[in-house]
Amino acid sequence: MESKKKLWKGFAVFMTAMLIMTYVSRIVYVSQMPRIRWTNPVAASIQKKLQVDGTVEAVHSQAVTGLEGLLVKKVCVAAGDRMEAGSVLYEVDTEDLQAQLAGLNAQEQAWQQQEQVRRRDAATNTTRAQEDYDMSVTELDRKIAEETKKLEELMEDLDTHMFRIPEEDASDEIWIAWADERQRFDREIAEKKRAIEDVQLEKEKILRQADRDIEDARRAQNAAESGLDMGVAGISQVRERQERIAFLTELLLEEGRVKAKEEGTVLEVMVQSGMRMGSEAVIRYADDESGLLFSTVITQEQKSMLHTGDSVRLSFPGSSEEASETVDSIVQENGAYTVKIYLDAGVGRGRTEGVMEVTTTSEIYDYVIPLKALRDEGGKCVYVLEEKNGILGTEISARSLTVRLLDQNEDYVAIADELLAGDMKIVTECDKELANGMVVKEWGE
Amino acid sequence: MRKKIRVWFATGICAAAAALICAPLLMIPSGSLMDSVEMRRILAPILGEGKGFAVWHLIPFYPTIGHFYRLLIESPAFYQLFWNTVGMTAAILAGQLVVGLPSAWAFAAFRFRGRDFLFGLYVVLMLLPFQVMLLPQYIVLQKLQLYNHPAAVILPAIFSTFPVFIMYRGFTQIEGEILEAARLDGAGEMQIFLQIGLPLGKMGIQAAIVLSFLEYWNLVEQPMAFLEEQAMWPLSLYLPQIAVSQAGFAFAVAVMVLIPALFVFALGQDALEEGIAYIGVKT
Repeated sequence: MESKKKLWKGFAVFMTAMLIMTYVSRIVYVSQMPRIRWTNPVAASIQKKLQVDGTVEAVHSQAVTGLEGLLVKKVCVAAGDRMEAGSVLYEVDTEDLQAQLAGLNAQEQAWQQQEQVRRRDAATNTTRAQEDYDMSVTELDRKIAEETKKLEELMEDLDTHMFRIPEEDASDEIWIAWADERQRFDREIAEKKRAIEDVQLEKEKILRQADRDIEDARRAQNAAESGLDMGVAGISQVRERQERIAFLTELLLEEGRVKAKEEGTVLEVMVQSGMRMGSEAVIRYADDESGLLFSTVITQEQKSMLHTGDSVRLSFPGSSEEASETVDSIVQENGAYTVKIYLDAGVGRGRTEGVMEVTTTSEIYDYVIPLKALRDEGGKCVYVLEEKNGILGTEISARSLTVRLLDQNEDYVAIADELLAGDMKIVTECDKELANGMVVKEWGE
Repeated sequence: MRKKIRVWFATGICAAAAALICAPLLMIPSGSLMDSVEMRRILAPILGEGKGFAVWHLIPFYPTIGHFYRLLIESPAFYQLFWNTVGMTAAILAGQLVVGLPSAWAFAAFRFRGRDFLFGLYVVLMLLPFQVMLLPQYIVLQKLQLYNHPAAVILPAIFSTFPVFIMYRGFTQIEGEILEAARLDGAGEMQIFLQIGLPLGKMGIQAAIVLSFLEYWNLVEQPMAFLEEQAMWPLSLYLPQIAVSQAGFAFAVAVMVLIPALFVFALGQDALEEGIAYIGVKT
């Protein structure tokens, strides 16, 4: 009897344990079950919204070139800033500026001293050439005068000899001696004449050379005085230095502040504090006279939503400004499309970035579901909910259904109606990876 | 000496036969604790994946409680069918007591016209196999719109004649003088049934309950024929759902199925022996 009681107790414990385990296994089963949210497909149109970032820039931008070699101390403007004529763009380091100016002044001073010496030398050379000329003239005139005097003496001696003509009956020897003498005179006179001619020729030659030397010296002096002897490069170099000295001096008076020459909008600043500038542009800006251009790049897929002449909405980050503009051109470049929109006057002024938005609405499709319901498992498919009768009774299972896409946007997709029905429950969300035929449960609130 | 040898010989033969009979029973607990890999290796010749014969390990090389964990923790379907079986068996037993008990008492305590014919009809019905009754029962259940409903299994079982027969045999053990004396003392028939019939026919009733429990706990054909929805099935149809590759899991299920039957058997062992004796008397 006692053993029967124990058996009854054991049986009761077993049944109780089975009851408890029934709940436990249910809890475990349900906890492992994927939770889903679903929706019915609806008839709707697909609204596609194209939103792309782009840049705003001047159609014709101006540049502020850098002050080569100067050190930037502080940049006073940023892209998008409005600048007025006379407003400070950036400041250069005045100590560095003074040092450069001092260097240039020293160079200028040294050059001027050198130039004075050179001019003085040129003048000296001219004077010396003139003196040489004068001395040559005097010397040669003296030589000619001497030779002429000797010639005149010979001529007189000849005349005297001619008066000493022998008698007709003088002997032949006398006649021969007189004739020889006369011939000697004639020969000497002729030689003297040639000598005078030679001296005159030499004088002409020497004077011509001396004259040339004078001319050269004078030309050199004139060149030195006028600075032409430095050549074009030299003159240019000197002029540049002098201009730079003048500019730097003026800049120093402005305490190194570089100012805008006209009003406009800063587009880009390519310089920063501590940078030593080159000759290239350091600030690019759009003056108020030139228009603005919004440009962006879209993909081939996005291109299907946008055409030339379409109206788009433009907004500008950091401001509440919005504008409706028209697409002016769409040009294919390297597989992408560049969209250009010339902005109306006053639109986007002071902006460097913009956002273009355009919305298109498709025809009405019979079956539109959220995009998140669409899955890619080797092909596009959705999971539909079905009631499944099993040992645990009627449960909800997910069945994979391959679908054909008609259209889609970022949130919704239109699918072909071959296999769908309007009352089908399409799984939109699931907290676990779904598989075909998997039993699921609906997501509680 | 010769007699002693005969005894030993007979004992040896009986022991061998007992071992052969008990072998499947021993396989159940060992199989339920056997690792799937080991099980697959053992069953390879049966599954057509190996040569030779399957050699069973009574003590698994890699014992595991994984099958029980999976069954008891991760298989709510098992519990669904378990409680289906419990409910179905309880309903059948209760119905049999409500319907069969008065019938058996009537056959045992009263003499009325057509009694022997009616009892003979009961015996004939009892002897008819289920396969013979399948089609008529199916048609009747369809007409009553009970097909694919638990009542399709419960109702025919309630009106089973076998427990009536067992209980009748139990009631016939009560002496007729006792009943006559009670009537003379002014006891009503209901009073006699409740105060004399039930206490004295207790063993027959218990035997009927135990035998019915064992029969309906393992019911296979009726639910298979009349219940389409798996959610209504009893536990006995769970095992065929398990693939051969999950033999270890199937053994674990078998262990769990066996436990209630063992309890009921142990609780009603005395009555069962007496019930079997009644059947012996009948036959």
